Amino acid sequence: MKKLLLPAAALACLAAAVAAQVGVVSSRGMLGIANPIYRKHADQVSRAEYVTSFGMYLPKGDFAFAASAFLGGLRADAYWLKAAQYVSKSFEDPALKTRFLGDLYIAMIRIDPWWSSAAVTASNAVTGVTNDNEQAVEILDRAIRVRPDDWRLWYARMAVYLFWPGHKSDAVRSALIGASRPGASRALLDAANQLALEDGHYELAVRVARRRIKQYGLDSALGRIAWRDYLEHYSRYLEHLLAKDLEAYRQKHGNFPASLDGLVADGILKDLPPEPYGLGWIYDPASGAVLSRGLGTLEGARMHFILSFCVTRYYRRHGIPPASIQAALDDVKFTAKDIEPVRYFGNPPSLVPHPVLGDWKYDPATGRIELGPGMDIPHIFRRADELRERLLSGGKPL
Amino acid sequence: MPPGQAIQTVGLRVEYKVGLFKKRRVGLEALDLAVQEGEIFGYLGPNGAGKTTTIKCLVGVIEPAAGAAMIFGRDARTPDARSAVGYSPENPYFYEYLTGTELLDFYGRLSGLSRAERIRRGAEALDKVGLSRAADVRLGLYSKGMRQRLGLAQAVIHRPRLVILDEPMSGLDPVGRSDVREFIRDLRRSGSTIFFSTHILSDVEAICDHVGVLHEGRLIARGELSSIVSPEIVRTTVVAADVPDDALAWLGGEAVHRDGVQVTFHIEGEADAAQAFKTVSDAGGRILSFVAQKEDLESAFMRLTGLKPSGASSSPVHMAEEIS
Amino acid sequence: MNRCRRFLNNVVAIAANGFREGVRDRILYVFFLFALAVIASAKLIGWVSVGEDIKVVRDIGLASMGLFGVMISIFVGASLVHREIERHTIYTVIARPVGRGEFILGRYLGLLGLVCSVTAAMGLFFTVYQAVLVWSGAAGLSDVEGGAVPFPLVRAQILIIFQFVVLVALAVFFSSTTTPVLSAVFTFLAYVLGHMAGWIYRFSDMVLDKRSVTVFDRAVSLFLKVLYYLVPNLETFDIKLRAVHNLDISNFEFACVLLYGVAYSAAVLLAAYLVLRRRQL
Repeated sequence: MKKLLLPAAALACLAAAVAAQVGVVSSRGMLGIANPIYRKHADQVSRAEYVTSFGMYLPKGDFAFAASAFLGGLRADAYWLKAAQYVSKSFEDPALKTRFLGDLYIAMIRIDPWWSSAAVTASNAVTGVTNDNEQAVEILDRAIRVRPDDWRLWYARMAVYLFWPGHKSDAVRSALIGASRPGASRALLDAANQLALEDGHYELAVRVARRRIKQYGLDSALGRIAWRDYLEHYSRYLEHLLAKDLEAYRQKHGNFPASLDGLVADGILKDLPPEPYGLGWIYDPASGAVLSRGLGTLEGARMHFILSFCVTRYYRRHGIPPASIQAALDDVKFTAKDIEPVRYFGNPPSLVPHPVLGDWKYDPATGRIELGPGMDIPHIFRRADELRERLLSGGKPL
Repeated sequence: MPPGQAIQTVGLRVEYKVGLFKKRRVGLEALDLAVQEGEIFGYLGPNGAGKTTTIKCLVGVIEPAAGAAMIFGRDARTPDARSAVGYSPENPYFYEYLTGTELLDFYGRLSGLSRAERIRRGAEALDKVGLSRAADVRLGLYSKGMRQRLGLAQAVIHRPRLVILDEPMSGLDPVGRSDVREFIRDLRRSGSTIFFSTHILSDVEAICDHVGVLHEGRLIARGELSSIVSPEIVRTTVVAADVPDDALAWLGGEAVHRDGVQVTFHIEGEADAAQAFKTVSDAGGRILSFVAQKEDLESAFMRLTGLKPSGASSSPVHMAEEIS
Repeated sequence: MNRCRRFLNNVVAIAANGFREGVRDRILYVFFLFALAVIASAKLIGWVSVGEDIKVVRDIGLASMGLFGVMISIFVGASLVHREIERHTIYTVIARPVGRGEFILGRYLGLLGLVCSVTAAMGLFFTVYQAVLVWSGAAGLSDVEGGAVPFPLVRAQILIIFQFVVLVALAVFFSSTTTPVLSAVFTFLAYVLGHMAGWIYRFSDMVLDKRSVTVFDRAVSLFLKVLYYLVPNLETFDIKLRAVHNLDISNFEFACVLLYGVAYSAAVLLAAYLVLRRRQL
């Protein structure tokens, strides 16, 4: 009996150790214990073509990964250094930009799934090198699973969706979640705002704009820009709502109301919302089109800028102003460098009338497109600032 | 067990498992040993007889396969029994990184001495073995003899009732050897029992009360020295000068050693010795030395073990050196 | 009570002696200074690691704490018990009123104290060094996760030091059963394999990760799972990867890890005692 006491005690200690280990496993989860990530891609790393000229050889394969486990992140760091060399080399020799680069980053996060920078760079590399957006998002999602609070991962996720046609709402969602994370870059909300608008989520855009104003403070320089965006988005949102109401009216009565007040009279709206810039609504009872004068002015001014740009370009190429605006547009072929104009007009840009003024007044002799007083961008921004100052001094903007 | 027995072993058997297949080898076989309190007990035997094995059993380093070893009536395997024991191993090799003082402090602490006692007795013990000057030198720099002395010092620092010394005199010069003998006698005077092993017979003869003779794991003799060694004169060594050749021829020329005019010869038996004395002096020779020898322990040992004397260790010249 | 006091007295005496042995060993200082040099030079690699300077510095610091700690455990600890037996120094200790359990525990605590204090010193140096890098702004352009001295980093160092509770127990166990060379090899293997433990778990899942799973596969998987819980699991103590990113673990997990270290090393020490108790020295 006494003989068995010691072995029994040893076994009891072992049992306690196992129990403690179970505790660790349960609180750490699978990730802390084993890192089952990227099994799918693990082979790629070992198959990857190693360019030995960089002089850093790391044994590959599952066993090498396992055996170097005690060196912790050092192995991942080595991959990081190697990848950095690759990136810098690939500027000279684009052929180096093989799949290997992506694999290097995947190897990094396979060792260290908590390494956000590696996950972010991995997703960049994967999208940049192979255009494999799905894999990039998968990489980020796995990283997010272990570090849900890291805004950088959400930012990168947004970036992936941004250049992935048809995924704008996902981009908005990522940007918004990222913005709610501690220490998040404030640019996330700006991006979310712009993306929501482009995706047609007007209400969301307005809400995000409000959050941006709160985030920056109305009296700050960035708050001023956010306020301008807010007015713009809010106008667009109201336009959108009114168009829906008008459509409802038409369904009911067979025609659009003679004026917007008809909506109130009919009970569809309690009050007619004021136009955010305080410039009034432009309504066409025939087509049912409703337009904020402020927003229309702003957009018209932007179009004017693009059209003038096209005309100037024509002038520079041919030495004479074009005969018509259309001639200038036909002549122009936007390249990748001209991202901004393309966003508004497409390529080649199409000629759309000024939202408020209608057809453009163009003088072929001088090559000038007449805009008229009070219709330029500075003017409408001044208007926005006036409203902001009114709000800051405690009054109502309208 | 009668009172006053310092060591008692009953049917002690020790086995070693050697080699890959754990073949058994018997180290000690049915050993019955008793050492009375206050004795100096010499434990004799050739190399490999099992002396060190016995001692290891007594200090609890190994466990007997059968039988029991008792120290002052307590099982030697229990730490309690060992608190009354001081032990110095053969060729002691201590922690090299310690100084003499530190080593004694460490051992004193293990024996449960208080700090003050450790300081006092450590200095005392070092002084006793003549190592005071080397007290603060690291043991790595100690010579073999110094280590041996330190071994003695650590064995007695806690004033044990029983001191077990394994080959305390091996590898010492004559001065060191006589120092150790004196040390052992001192210990006995202060009331300790001493059990020491050796394969050097003269040491035993010089200081022991009782001896045990071990051979191939078995105790082949034990008791008082006189009961083992026969009292008869077995041989007489005569050294003479100017002995005429005819007288020499009478003496038979047995075991004769000539050195110029000086002649050494041995004579067996008491009667023949007297006759030889007479013969030499009658022939006009001068007797330079006439030494009668009883059976010495060596011979007794040879007789008991049935070993034939061989090699340097049994030559008379060597014996003479050792006796001096 | 008296027995208890003697037990403590002996254990402390042997531990203090073992500690002194290590402190007077020159190899200790070689390793210690080398570790400090490695930690201090981490910034050099940090410079070329685009935007991840402080991570590299922290990785190198934490890894060298563990690595040099295990080196010291091996070079000082591998021959711990064996050398005592070989040189017969153990005889003079055992011949005193000292139980073999006290001897093992004392040797264990002595080496543990040594390794822990040396790694703690390395950890202190490393913590101050990287804090200075962060404060002085030399840590690179990237914003530093967790500031100068993030709490998880401290916690990770505590666990790195605590892993030696298990590793030194293993070293003592090997040292009391085999020769110094084998014991050194085993101890290092235990360190490497102990950190591979998580992969045993992973492999147990990988066995089942195919189209048709046979009974044999299930048995292998189960065996690996059981093995995972039985091997000395040093990966449990390894939260380096998370700590450098300022990711903390829960207090419950921390407590479980500490409990694991104590319980497992107790089991190993008892096993060492069982071996040494019956051993003919």
